[in-house]
Amino acid sequence: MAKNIKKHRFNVIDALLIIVILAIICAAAVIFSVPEKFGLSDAAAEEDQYVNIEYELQFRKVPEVLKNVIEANYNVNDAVYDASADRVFGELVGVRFEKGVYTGVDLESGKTVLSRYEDLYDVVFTIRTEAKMSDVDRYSVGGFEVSVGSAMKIKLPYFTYSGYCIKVAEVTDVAKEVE
Amino acid sequence: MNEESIKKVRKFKPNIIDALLVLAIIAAIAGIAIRSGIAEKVTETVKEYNTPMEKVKISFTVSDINRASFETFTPGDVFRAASMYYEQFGVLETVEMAPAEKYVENVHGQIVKSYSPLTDPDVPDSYARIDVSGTFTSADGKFENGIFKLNGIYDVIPGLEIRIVDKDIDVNIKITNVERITEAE
Repeated sequence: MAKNIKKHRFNVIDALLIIVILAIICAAAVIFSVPEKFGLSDAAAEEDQYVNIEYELQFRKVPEVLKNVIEANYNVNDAVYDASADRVFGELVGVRFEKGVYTGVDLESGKTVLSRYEDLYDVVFTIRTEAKMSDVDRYSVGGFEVSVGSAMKIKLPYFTYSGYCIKVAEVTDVAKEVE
Repeated sequence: MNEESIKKVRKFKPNIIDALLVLAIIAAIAGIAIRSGIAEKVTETVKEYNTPMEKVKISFTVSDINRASFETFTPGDVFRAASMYYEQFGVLETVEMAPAEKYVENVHGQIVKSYSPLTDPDVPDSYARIDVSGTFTSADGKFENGIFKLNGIYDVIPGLEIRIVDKDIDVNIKITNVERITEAE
């Protein structure tokens, strides 16, 4: 037996095994020593400040046929997803519709005139979510900074569209710490 | 490498140390997978994979196209979604046309809706431009979080604009409704 052990030579498989083991140990060491970098640290998460916000997204010139589909299907608390990335923008709190406004010019008087589209609607979604205060004091929802003017493309099972944020407000001013 | 060493390599047999090393590697990989959430994602993926396929009824509109193009919309034709890597989109079931609608500003600055006129007053439906609406029976897809995904991959949602093609036409459509027609088993 002793003879057999002495005869064993370090080969390429042993080398590969050692490299793999070292790589895994290094990866594990990095992940567990700086877990906040990988979103795994409870301690780090507790330092983040979270607030509840409600914001409004406006979708302009939505055809009546789509407005009818929204009216027939939407429910409060529906999850509103980002159509461009794998994240949730929040929960639907309410929806309102109004006929789209057109700004024209009266050629006789030269004055600006407002009128309404017959069957195109401005649809406004009110969305509630928990936002993290970013390093530069902005509301971050899953990494997306929400503020008035932000262009957002949303999707739900019954509607997808591009719109703009037109209002943001904190609904409570008590920061929530992640448990 | 001489003949003797080649012989030794060929004689390599896994021993208990190798087995322990493999087990340690598997345990380490499993630990990292669980801790980093990869295991959860794999579970979700398996669940999605096992969701049965089904078909839906897709309603659509096409805006402001040439009157002659209408003849290329033939019920029964199979369309593909060019904007979804030519995935099979569905079978055209119904189709109808109407004079193209257009919003224009009048002299008073107000927005009013107008319709494409007939090119020949004596010929019904001889509009210069038309809007088309209709329905498809989709190709197979799956519902995930309530959203219909064509072939389990591509979102098909009211409001989505996509390019579809068949042998006769290449056109952009707006999806206006998605309705279940078969219940998942």
